[in-house]
Parts: sequence; C-alpha cells; structure tokens
Amino acid sequence: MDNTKATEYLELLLNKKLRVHTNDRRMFIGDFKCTDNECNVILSQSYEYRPPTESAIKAATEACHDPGATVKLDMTSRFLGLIVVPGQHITKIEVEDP
Amino acid sequence: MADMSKLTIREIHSKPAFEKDDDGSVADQHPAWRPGVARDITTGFSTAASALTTGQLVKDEFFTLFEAVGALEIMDPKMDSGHLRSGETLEDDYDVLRELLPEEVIGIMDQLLCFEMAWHAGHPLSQSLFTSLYLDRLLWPEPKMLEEARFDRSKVPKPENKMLHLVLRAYCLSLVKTCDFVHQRISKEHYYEEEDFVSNLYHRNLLTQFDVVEIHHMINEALNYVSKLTNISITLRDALVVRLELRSYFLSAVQFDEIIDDHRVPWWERCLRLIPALPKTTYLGMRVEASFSIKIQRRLASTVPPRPMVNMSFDEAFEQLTKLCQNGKDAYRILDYRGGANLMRFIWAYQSRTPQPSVYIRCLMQAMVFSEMRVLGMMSFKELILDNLREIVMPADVLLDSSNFDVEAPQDPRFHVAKRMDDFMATAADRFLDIFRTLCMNRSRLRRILCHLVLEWDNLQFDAENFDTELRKYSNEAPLKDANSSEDLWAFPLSSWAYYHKLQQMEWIVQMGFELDVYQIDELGGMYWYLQYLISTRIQHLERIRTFTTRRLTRISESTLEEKAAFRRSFSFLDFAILEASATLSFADGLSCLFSFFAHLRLVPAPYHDRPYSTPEFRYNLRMRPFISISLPEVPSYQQFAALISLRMPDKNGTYGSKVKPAQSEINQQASQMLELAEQSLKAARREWEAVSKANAETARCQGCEDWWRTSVKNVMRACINANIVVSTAKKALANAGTGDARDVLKVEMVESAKGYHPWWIVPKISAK
Repeated sequence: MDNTKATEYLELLLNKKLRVHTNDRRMFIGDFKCTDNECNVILSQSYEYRPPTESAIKAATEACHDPGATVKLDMTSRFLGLIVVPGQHITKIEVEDP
Repeated sequence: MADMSKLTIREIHSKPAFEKDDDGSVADQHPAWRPGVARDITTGFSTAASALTTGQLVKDEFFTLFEAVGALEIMDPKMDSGHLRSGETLEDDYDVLRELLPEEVIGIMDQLLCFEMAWHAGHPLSQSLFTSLYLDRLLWPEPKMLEEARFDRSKVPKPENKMLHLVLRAYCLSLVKTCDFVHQRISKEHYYEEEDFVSNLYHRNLLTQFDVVEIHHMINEALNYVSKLTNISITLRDALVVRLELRSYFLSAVQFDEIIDDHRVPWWERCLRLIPALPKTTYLGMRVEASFSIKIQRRLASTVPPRPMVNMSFDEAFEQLTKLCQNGKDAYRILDYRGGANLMRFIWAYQSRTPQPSVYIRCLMQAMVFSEMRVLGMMSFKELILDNLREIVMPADVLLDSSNFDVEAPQDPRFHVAKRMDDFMATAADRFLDIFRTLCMNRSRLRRILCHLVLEWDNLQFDAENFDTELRKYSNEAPLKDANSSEDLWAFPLSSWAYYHKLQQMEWIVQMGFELDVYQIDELGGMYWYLQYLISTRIQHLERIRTFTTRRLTRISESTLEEKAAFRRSFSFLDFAILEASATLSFADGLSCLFSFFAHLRLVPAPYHDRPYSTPEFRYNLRMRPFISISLPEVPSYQQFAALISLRMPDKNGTYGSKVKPAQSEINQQASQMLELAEQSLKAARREWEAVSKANAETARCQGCEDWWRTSVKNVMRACINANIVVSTAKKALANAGTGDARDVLKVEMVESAKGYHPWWIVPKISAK
C-alpha cells in the first residue's frame, strides 16, 4: 500500500468508533482521533471493557442450577476519556459500523 | 454445579451480545457501547499504519497535539490504572461476606471515618472512601432500590452474620448518604476544585435517590439489634452504639434542604456530645486492612493515573470531626442578623480562625448568607443593601424610605427616587454579595479574588456618583461651602458608601499579604507604610461622612424617635470605625518605622546586592499592581514612596547613596530618631487597641462572634505589646552601642506570620548580643 492510499484509508476511519483489543484481554472503545506509523492509536471519550474475573465466573456458575446451561456474563466497563494505546500492545482493531 | 467447560464469556466480536443475566445483575451499560456490527480491520489498519512515514500523523483536524499530551497511556503502569502486572489479579481475595467480629466492625467503622475526614480535607474519594471493598459492593452495580444495596447482592441473605448485614451495612449506607448531602451542599456553592475539594464521584451514585428516612430506619434497626446483644461485652456494645448513633446524628446535621434556619443546630450539638466517646473505645477496634484496596481504582471511571491511598490517622480524623461539628454548630450563629457591618465582622471572625473551617462549613456559610434569593433565610438582598446604606452613610434618609418603593404614580418624585435606587442596587447587588462570598473562600483565594473585586468597586464608586447627582434634586440636599475655595461640597452618599467598602478591601489585600507571607522581609516596612496610608485615607473619608451626616441631622427640625435611633446607630458605627482604624493606623505606622530602623542598621537581610533585572522601583511597582488601576486613592509614585517612608536603604557599600560612607555615629543617630517615631506610634497603638477592646459588642459590631473577635483583638494587643518591648530592647542596645555598629549588639530574627501573635502583625524577635 502506498503512502497516499494508506493515509486516505486511515483518514476515512477518523472519528469512527473503534474497538481496540490489547494483549491483556482488555478492549477499549472510543472515537478514533490519531495514529502514526507505529500504530499507536489515540481514542477520545473511551471506555475500558474487561472480561469477567475468575471469581465472578465462579459465582455465576454456582448461581446457575442447571449444570448443562451456558452462563452469560457481562464484561465490566468504565469510562476513561482520552487514551493512547501503544501499537505494540494492540492485538485487534475493529470498527463499529454505524 | 454448572459445567465449567461449557462456560462462555461474551466478547464483543461481530455479534456483540450484552444481555441481562438470569439473576438480573447486569453491569452498567455505558453510553459508549452501542449494539451494532463491528468489522475486523486489524490487517488493513496495521498495513496502512506501517505505510506511513516516520513522524507522519493521521489525525482529526480539530485534534491538537497539545490535547494528545494529556492522554492516558495504556499499559504504562504509572498512567494506566487498569494495567495489571504479571501475576497480579484484578480483584482482591478479600471475602466481603465473611463473618465479622464486633471488634472488626469497630475497626472498619473507624477506618471509614478516617477516610471520610480525608475526603472532607480535600482528598479524592478514589483514594479514600472508595477504597473500601464494603462500600464498593454496596454501590456497584448501582442499586435501583435500597434493598439492593447489600453486601451479598444476588444471593439470598443469610439470617446469621447480622454484624455484617445489619450493623455494618447500616453504618455504611448512612455514611454514604451523609457524603451525598455534603457533596450536594458543596457543589451548589463556590469552591475551588482540587484545591478545596474533589467533587468527582467516578460515575458512582451516593444513594442520592433514596429517602433519608429509610436510612434512619435502618440505623434504628441496627441500634435495636446491637443494644440487645448479650454475647458481647458491654464496652463493645456501647462502642458500637455510639458509632451508630453518631452516624444517625451526623446524617441529620448535614441533611440538605433549602430551609435556612437553626433547626439543625441540635443535631450538631448531639454529635458534639457523642464524639468524645469515640477515642475512648477506638482501641477496641481491630483494623481490617485487607478490606481496603487501591485496586478498586481500576474499576472507577477515571481520567487520571492511579494514585495511592490517603493515610489519615484516627487522631487527626477525630480532631477534624470535632472541628467540623463545632464549626457546624457555630455557623448558625450568623443567622442572628444585626446589620451588614456586623455580618461582615462575623464572617471575618469566623473564617480567620486557624485552622480555617473546612470546605463543607464554608459552603454551608455561603448558603446561609445567600440562597434561594434570601439573605440569612430572612431578608431580600435589597433590604441588606438598604440597611447597610442606612448604617454607614444615610441614616433616616428620605431616599431610602421603604415606602418609596410602594409608590406607583409616576408624577410622584418618590416613584423616581425608588426607581433610581432600584437601579443602583441592581448595579451594586452582585458586588456586595461578592464580598460576603469571597470571605468564605480559602485564604489565598480570598486575597486573590479581592484584588479583582476591588476593581469592580472602583467602577461602582464611579457609577454611584451619577446616581448621587441625579438623586440630589429629590433629597433637597444643600451643599456645604468649602472654607478655602468656597466651592460647593456635596455628600455623594452612594459613592461614599462604595468608596468606604473599596478602601476596606484594599486594606484587606495588604493585610492578607502579611498573613500569607507574600512580602519579603525588606518589603515589610514599605507595606506597613502603605497600609497606614490607606487607613488614613479611610479615616478622612469616615470623617467626611460624619460631617455630612451631622449636617443632615441639624437640618431636621424635629426628629422623631426612630430618626434619632437611626442617627445614633450610624454615629456609633462611624465613631467606632474611626477608633478601630486609628488603632490600626498607629500600629502599622509603628511597625513601618521599626522595619525602617532595622533596614537602616542593616539588621534584617535586605537586597543590598544587585539582583539581576530587579530594582527597588520594579519591586515596588510589582507590589502595587493590584492597586495601580484604581483611580482613588492613587498609588504614590516610587519616588514619593521612597522619600516618605524615609527608607534610605544602605547600598552594598553601606554608603546610603552618597559618595562617602557616613560616620557610624551619624547612622546610629538617624536610627535612634526612627526608633523614637516607632515608639510613639506603638505606644499610641497600644492605648487605642485597649480602647477598641473595651467597646461593647453592639458598638463593635461583633454580636454573635464576640468571643472570636475579642480573641483576635487580644492577639493584636499582644503583638502590639511585643512590638513595644522590641523597641525598648532596641533602644537600650543602641545606647550601649554608642558609636559602634549596632549589628554587634543586636540580633533580629524574623517570625513567620502564622507563628506570631496575630498573622496580620509581623513583629520580629530581637535579642541583645
């Protein structure tokens, strides 16, 4: 991909909601504001999502009386605001379609 | 038991599915999350990014690099509160549901109290109360009903373990509700975020929506349970009872409502009666450190990096709480209105005590002074201004007659008077209110805001002159003839009033400068001189007002009883204000001479050496900056200033500006003349402050705050006596020195303003060598 095309591609993504996954199993959702050639991503108005903890899973499993059932749990989330996710920690990037 | 292998954790892939759990415990659904389809663009994105050149940024045109600096860096342990070190778990192992001993409950309660007081002292909740795992469990996920605010949450409550589920829960809920009231009160008034108080709740709710009655009900239930306990010692039981009762009283004391009267005083008094029992039983408590964790910060909405837990000792917290309750109770004394001057005195006296009342109390006082368009919950702001005008400049004046405001016929002159007065008061209202508000700020802000406010008052004084000229034709005022120029002199009552308040604020700015240690040692003499210059202007002004008031009185042929009383009130104000101002003037003059004396003999460190880019004139202009744009009184030029204060600073050669160094005997002789002047003024100051201290509360305008005001006057007198002693010590030493260098016989030590007798009067320590 040449530089012009790459820039164009990324510019189209600006201000879209991105879901950036990191190598510690967290995910960040926020408005895409900026990136560079190391793939560092700046998101504004972002929220952090985290998979449920072991203890929460255990508690939910215990609470479920049907042994064959699938247990559903929510990811926990909190507001963070403006963040920069360094490219080296990113495992996956998704864009939310409007 | 469910099969663990079949467990799936939802991750948001192409088909995100946040659904409610069967048991209904659902995490807060944040606005950022929208159900929608997400497309994986990892490859496209990273290919595109790597095709960028080094240093090239693709960014939103409105997004600045300046903003980018403020972004939290994910995975950086110092910035990212959510980052886990290897092997670290997100949650603590602490089991919130474990059985608690009564001793542990006491320990937890006392630890919570420490954190609560730390919050009151200005620390964020994330570093204090929100580190408690118990509070976290109650508040998150957000309970929709109070019944949901339980430690066990989804589980069926077990009947046993009441120490936890009944006692500690009631304590925690009432604590949170108390914080809610405190938070609401502070948020409604003026304060400085992160300086006085951190209002951030991190997307948590402090049980705002729940009725306080329900909480009281819960405490009562807990009290009932505890008082019937037979399996624990009486001391333990009493310790628990005291803590629960205190929560209940404290909750009632801070309860937030719009009614401004003293019906909350008894609750503060009850708290004060209970508090001494706390430290007597705190030894019974067993601390449960594990129930507090900094890890909770990972789950709080936070735009700041992780920060450590605040440590406040129980003794400190206990002292804070005692002061809070005492100040809370005392604050209501303000409601006994005795005129604007008294009200101002009250707030000064109340706020000047050290340590200054905490931010909650200062906001409470602001609310009492003015809220819901009422002053002290009893009068309109217009009434307050009118009353203050009557007290200071216009007793029983037709222009201020309340009946004017009821006239509706436009041909009646009173209609026009009322209209103009209304206009004037509309102009003055905010500025007058700002004085009272400003006095409730923290001390540094107080000085800073005054520097701005005084400019507003300068404008107001100017505007008021126009109102005065217009109103003159309605008041039938006859001018005084100036004895020398036979010019007409008019009273200008409204602008006189504004000038009076302006001068007072200027004095406060200088005096707060002493209190806050703003000035360098070598500037003190000059600043005390400027203070006496301002005060002498105010005295002249007060005498001018008095002349016009006297004249108006003589023009009233037969004054009614009410008129007589009104004039008496005004004269008593003016006479006492003159007395107090004279006492202040003498003291300031004395200290100014004393510091000149020290400087002359080089007994205090002074800027003898050249500072780069600094001259005495530059420094003087810098100090006068708050006053430079004020039209009246004019700031003296540096030349005038330097000549007037006879502050002939010896230069680095000790030659006092001339080519030849004067003989030591000459220097000493000049110094002793200065000392003579200092002595005269300080002796007069002592006499005058003595007279001030003897005034009764009504005259001194200190009703309701008499104890604090008298303590303050006593401290001024002690400072004054101390200054007199310094002078006589210096005199003796100088006599002994003869024609020698005074530095060989005298040693001067500076004292910080807070360590002296009174922060506005800096008297150095002196000793003969």
